[in-house]
Amino acid sequence: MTGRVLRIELRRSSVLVSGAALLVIGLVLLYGAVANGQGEVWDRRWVELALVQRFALLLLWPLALGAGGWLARRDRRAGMEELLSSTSRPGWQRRTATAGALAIALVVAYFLLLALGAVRIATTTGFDGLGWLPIAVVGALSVVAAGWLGLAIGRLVPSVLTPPLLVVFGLVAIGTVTEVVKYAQPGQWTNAVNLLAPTLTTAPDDFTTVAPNVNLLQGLWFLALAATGIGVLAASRPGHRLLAGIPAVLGLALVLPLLPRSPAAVFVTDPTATALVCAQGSPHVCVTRADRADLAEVTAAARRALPLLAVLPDPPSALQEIPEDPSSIPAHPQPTDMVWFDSENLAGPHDEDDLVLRMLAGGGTRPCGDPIARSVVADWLLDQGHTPPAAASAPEVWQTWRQLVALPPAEQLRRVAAVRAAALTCHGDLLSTLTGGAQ
Amino acid sequence: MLTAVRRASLVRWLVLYSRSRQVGLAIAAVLAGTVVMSLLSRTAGDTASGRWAVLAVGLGAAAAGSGLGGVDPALERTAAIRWPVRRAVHVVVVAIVVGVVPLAAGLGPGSLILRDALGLSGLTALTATLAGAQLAWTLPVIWAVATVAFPITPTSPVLLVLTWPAGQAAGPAATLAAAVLAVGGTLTYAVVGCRR
Repeated sequence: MTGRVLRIELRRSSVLVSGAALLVIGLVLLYGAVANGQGEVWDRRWVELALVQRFALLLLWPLALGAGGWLARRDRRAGMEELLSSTSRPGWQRRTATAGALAIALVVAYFLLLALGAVRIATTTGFDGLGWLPIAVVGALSVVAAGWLGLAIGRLVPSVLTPPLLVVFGLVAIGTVTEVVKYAQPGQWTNAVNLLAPTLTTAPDDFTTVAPNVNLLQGLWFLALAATGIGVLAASRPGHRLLAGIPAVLGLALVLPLLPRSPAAVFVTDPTATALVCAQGSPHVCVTRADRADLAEVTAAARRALPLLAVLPDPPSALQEIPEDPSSIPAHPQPTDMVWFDSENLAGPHDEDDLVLRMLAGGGTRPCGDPIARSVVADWLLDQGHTPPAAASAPEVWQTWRQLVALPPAEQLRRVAAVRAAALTCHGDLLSTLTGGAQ
Repeated sequence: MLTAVRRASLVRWLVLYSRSRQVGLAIAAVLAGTVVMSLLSRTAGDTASGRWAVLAVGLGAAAAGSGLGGVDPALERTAAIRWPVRRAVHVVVVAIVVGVVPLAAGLGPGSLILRDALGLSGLTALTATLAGAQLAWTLPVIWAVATVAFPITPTSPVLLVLTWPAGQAAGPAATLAAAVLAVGGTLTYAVVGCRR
């Protein structure tokens, strides 16, 4: 019986149109970002796609709210309220069937949007594991909560103005929750309030994902909201409607103290993204899984860069990409036999020559210390000081370059090797090491 | 004597028309929406970006949208009244009210409010023609909310047109999009009328 009602509701009510509208608008947002040159925000990792979809909830969540508000007025629009209240079937059965149909349509639309975004990722990087799933499930739950809250509010206030008001003030509510927090210090409880909104800001870099406890707590919170929505919808007496508010209040009281109060605790390192993918053969070249699309290009550049480094004492024989994480730099000295290549170097447009130069920077060390000294060392290593830096280089680079090449060749090599030694441990002033403290 | 009778009948028609189009509710919504948005913009300390104005204008146009059709459009069509003129005047009045109220409240840059009031009112009329008065709110509200939610800096011409209601999109493309929607929407609605 319920299945039959559900099928008819899906076919004959506004829920399919609402779901389709959500999907189309979501697609416009996703691919609008691509058209605006911001596609790399989401088209390289599944986790980033799931996060960007959560960010899109800034618009989609209020729309789901409005879709619920619109559906709630159906009986009144058709002038059937009196007729339906005279039937013997309890009202909550009919109303929850409608809510079920709305939830199905919204969830299908949410995951279909994810799938249509994944089509683009599949063409660049392929499958990534299931790390994105909890993020997407929480997003789908939040959309269901929005639809059911919209139904509940639409039933309480059955005005023609309810749906547009829900859409506009849904956005204002999310915006208020997320903007107030901008002025909060780390550790203040207002940071946790931010996480009550369905939108998540995108990950700070390519190697992080949402902490599992944040997913769990947010999921609980939206379950509680959905329970309140359907409770208010099903209740037929004012007293019961008040009781239906309990899940939301309880959920808030439970979740808010447990949510992290510092933005740094929201995102954690994603082991699937930082795992290493290595090239076949020699030299030994590895990049992170997140950047595996760049492996061939990095390997080709490394084959040119590693022989150039062979003039140095204890030259490196392998290259490995390291995820940018400035906090870990002083703690771990770089091994001598390996070039550490910062992943930031792969962001943005670049060609193989650029990569070679970036691999040589600081004598094949991670970004640590003076960038001018690192850049001059890279230019020197390209041709052992015979070719000047690029014409567009900064004046300081030119000046340091001239100082370096004025020295005898053996001294040049000694200085460059000293810079590399200093940068490996991240100690000392690279520029004065290079210029002999003359500046 | 005759003119007095005509004036009386015009006033009477206006009263009846306003009632059938729920004008009171729409005006109350425009005023309340503007008051709430100006309170929020003061709290946020932000009137320069104009995003609150875009929301207020979108909400106002949406509220007026449900009044673009009567209870029984089929019955109204049978009346020997020149509906196209009245429908066009209705949209123009909506645009003026929806624009002047946020303008008076100082919600944002004047040119932005005027452009959006004209464009979003035209869009509301167009939506009413396509989907009916009950759904006339959808496109203007979604468009306004979307551009406020994602204040991107458009680079391609298509996006420049698509983001026309946004505060940062001051330029000929946005103005042109608003003008096309204002004129096209009003004319379509005036000629075809609300969807039954």
